[in-house]
Amino acid sequence: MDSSSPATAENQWVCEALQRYEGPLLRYTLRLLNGDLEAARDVVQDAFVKLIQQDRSAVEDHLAPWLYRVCRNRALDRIRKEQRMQTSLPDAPNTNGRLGSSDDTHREQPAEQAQHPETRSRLLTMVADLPERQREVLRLKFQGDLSYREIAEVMDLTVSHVGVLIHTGIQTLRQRMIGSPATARTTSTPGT
Amino acid sequence: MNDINTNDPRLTAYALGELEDAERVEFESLLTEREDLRAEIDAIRAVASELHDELMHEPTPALSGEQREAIKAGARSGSSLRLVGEGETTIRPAAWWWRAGISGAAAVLLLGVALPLAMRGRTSGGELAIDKTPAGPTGGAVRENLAESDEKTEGLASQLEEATRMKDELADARTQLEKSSSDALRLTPNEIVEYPNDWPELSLRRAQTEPESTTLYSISGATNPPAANRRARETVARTRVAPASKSAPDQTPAMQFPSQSGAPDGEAKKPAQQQQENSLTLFQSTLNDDADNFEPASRDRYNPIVENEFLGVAAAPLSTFSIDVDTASYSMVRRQLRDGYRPAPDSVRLEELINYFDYKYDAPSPGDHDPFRANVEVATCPWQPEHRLVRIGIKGMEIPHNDRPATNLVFLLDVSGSMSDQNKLPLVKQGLMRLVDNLTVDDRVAIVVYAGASGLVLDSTFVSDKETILGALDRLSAGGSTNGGAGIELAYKVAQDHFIKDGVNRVILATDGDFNVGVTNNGDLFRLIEEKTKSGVFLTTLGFGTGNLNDAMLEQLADKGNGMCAYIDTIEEAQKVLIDQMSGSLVTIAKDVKIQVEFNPAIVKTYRLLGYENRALAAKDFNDDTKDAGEIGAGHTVTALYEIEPVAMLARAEAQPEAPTEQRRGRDGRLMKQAEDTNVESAESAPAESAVESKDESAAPAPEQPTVDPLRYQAPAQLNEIARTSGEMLTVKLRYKQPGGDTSTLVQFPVHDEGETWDQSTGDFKFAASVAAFGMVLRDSSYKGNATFNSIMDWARAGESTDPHGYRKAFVDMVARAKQIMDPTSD
Repeated sequence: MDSSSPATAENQWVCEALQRYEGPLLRYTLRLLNGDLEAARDVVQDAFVKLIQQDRSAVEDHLAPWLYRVCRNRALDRIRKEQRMQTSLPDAPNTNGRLGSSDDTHREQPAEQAQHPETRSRLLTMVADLPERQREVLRLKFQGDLSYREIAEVMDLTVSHVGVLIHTGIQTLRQRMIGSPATARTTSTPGT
Repeated sequence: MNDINTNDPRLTAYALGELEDAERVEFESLLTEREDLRAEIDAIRAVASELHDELMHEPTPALSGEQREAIKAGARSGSSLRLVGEGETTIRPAAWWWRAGISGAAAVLLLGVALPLAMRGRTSGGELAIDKTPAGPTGGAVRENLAESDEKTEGLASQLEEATRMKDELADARTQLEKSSSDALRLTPNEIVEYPNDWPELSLRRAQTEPESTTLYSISGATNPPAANRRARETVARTRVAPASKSAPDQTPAMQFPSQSGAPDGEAKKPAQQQQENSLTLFQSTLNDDADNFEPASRDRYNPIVENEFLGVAAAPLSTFSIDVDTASYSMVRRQLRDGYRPAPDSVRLEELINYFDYKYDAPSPGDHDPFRANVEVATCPWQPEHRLVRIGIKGMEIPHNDRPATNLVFLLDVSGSMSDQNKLPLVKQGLMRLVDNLTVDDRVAIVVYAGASGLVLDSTFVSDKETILGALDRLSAGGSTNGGAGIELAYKVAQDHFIKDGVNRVILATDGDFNVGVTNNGDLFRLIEEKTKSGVFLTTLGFGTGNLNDAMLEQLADKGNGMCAYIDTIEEAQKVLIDQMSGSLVTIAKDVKIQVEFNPAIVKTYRLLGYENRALAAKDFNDDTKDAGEIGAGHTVTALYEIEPVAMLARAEAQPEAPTEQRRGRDGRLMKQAEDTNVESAESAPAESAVESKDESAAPAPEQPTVDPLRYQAPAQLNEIARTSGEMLTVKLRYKQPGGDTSTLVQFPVHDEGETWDQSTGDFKFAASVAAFGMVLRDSSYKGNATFNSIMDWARAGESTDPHGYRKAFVDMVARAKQIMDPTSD
């Protein structure tokens, strides 16, 4: 059924983008923001508001990376802002570093591990143990289904750098999986 | 490239399909000689696949319903303007102030605290300062600043939380402003002004004249707004966002609104908020935080439902909607209840619950002109006995099993890793095997699967070779991720290659989720399906399993594909959809079927359509053959219910209609919508809306039926001869197209209310009413009247008489189950 007025049809693409990317973007942004759901919702809403103002032809062919990138930048802005306000805290991370531009800190790790510790599979626990940027590329690749090129656009890296991060991440996971025979949930995976 | 070792990142890139073509070809030739690398790639793929599965099973959060709707409203407005996103914090003090009931002076004080802090917390912006407008602080920043500065202030934090929540509503308001203003208006945060005795004004200016001003005009509570605000205020009033009441807060009538997400009904809401709730579409959050018993952490996605309201016949004489034969909601509700959860309100679509059941309506006779027959019954509304309930039933032409035209089916099956659960792929296979068993030798079946790659598992094969088909189904196994886009394209291609003229040509899609790999976005997918549908290949979508079900998308796909959408949770359901109702599921007898009802104002005062919320059409779409609508399958029954508030007998005798702009309230006190149709929200309706607001000012506090002064400039509309003398309650108009046709046929007939009582009504009427009431109780609808689980069971049992498959009996059991979960204490 198409009950839309012409104006609606014109902007239907934004609603479709919303439907398709709302969940994935929130899931991604929530990680960046240490599980602060309200903040993540604000960021994602802002990204879509910004999308409305874009010329469709300018973003449509790279819609997913565009959205992820906006969310990422806004989330990082927020984190920077918080850091400035908390500079008195002893373990404040370096303040000029945007997430991931300094080398692989483990800043997010506690939040990531704290979530559903009992239901979380071994594999995801291993993912949580990876360095920050490896975690992020793996999530963008396997949760966001972005290509190397798109991930490079989102994170401001070269494509080959993305390739190295993903490769390293997967190799590490693989070694740890071999190292721990109790690896759970291999049922649907042929070859393991 | 021969020096490649097992730790080369290109191995991973190759395994994930990320190498450029030239490099990939080179790589592949190398792989033929290097077994160690091939093994390495397999191992990488295994990890990748498992990682993908694990990550895709993580819970997916969602935006609040308000946020989502604010975005959609913004998209609809098509505006290229940016309303400053973060400025609304400055208006929030009004909200906490009112809510907390503290004095105007305290509010000013609060502002004085919040704003300087907020300013300090503001950043230079970066991404945030999109168009160089001074960006205000974010809600989060204010929250933290305040918490930091004044932790000891009891209650302040919670007020701020409340204020933050209101951000969403304000976002809606902004969007409305944007929509209705053709000028380049800009809402600048620092110009938002607070008047303790003159409700908060949203100050608007033309963008060209926008200064760098960061002055807060009236932080001290000035009562004279700057002249610059005057025009702005007028604009605001026209756009329905401004609070209508100019009275002081303590004189504002405490109006009641239907409960939203469990908020206490009696709580007085501030006028601005009421106005927004009233004039903007009401959207209930899909995340109902207050209620318990909902399925935790489910990623199943449902579109929000805003229930239809009672509409006044004088203002909205026409009700227009598309028919809907989907039944998915019923099985999803059943599944949630069976699992011990209270169904998510947005998964409860009334029309799909009602249409899940077959009713014994008269089918058209073989010689009839139209492929379906409509019949109408009017009797007492069981949950609101002073109201009448109108049931419009449509029955499609029956096609005996052996008269079914030759059938060309393509099964498009999701075999991604997540489909391995017992209630997914195994159930799909079982159901489809039964279907194949019931096809005839002239029918054909092909199987296309999609996962990491899509592929043709079985080219179109005559059912005479049934063993081949069943064998292919049997061998399917789950693994990999999903690329629905390519799969659906291939499926349509196979269907078109074997197209049977005048036969049934249909793709049957079975999935547990959505199409989440590849470049395809939903827009392309919908366009693709609309395009393919023109070729005469229709689409049926079948949802399976839980956890990642994209119900909204499956329903939309089926709509675009001229098909139906069902949710299959058990083999019995598969039997019902695929075998018992096979003709209906496969053979379409009429398409783009629309219903328009015109009510007679001499008889009907207000009416409410139960369900079909996402099927509403504009009145003008009824005669517009380019507007898509729902399909009817062979033997299908479609039922629509209207609850009607009759004109009082005395008034009826005088045959006095009401003034067209008169305001009425439903029994819950909610203002009646003025627009003719929910879809039509245009600038032209603005004057009427401002009339609404001016009425509000004088509205007395919360009477059941507030009176409105007679209009000074208009006489009440006159009823014509037919309205006064015919005794007709309403006229039903139906439009439909033949399955292969492009022009519609009109069918219309008047309906009289013969005064049938509940006891006199038919079993089908009673049963349909009980199912509707069940849906309303599950949704905790404000329209449920006196319906309870117990009364629903009584009504349903009274209508259980015709129940060949035992579905109605099962319904009563399900109501008992719902009662156990949601209301275990009552008897």
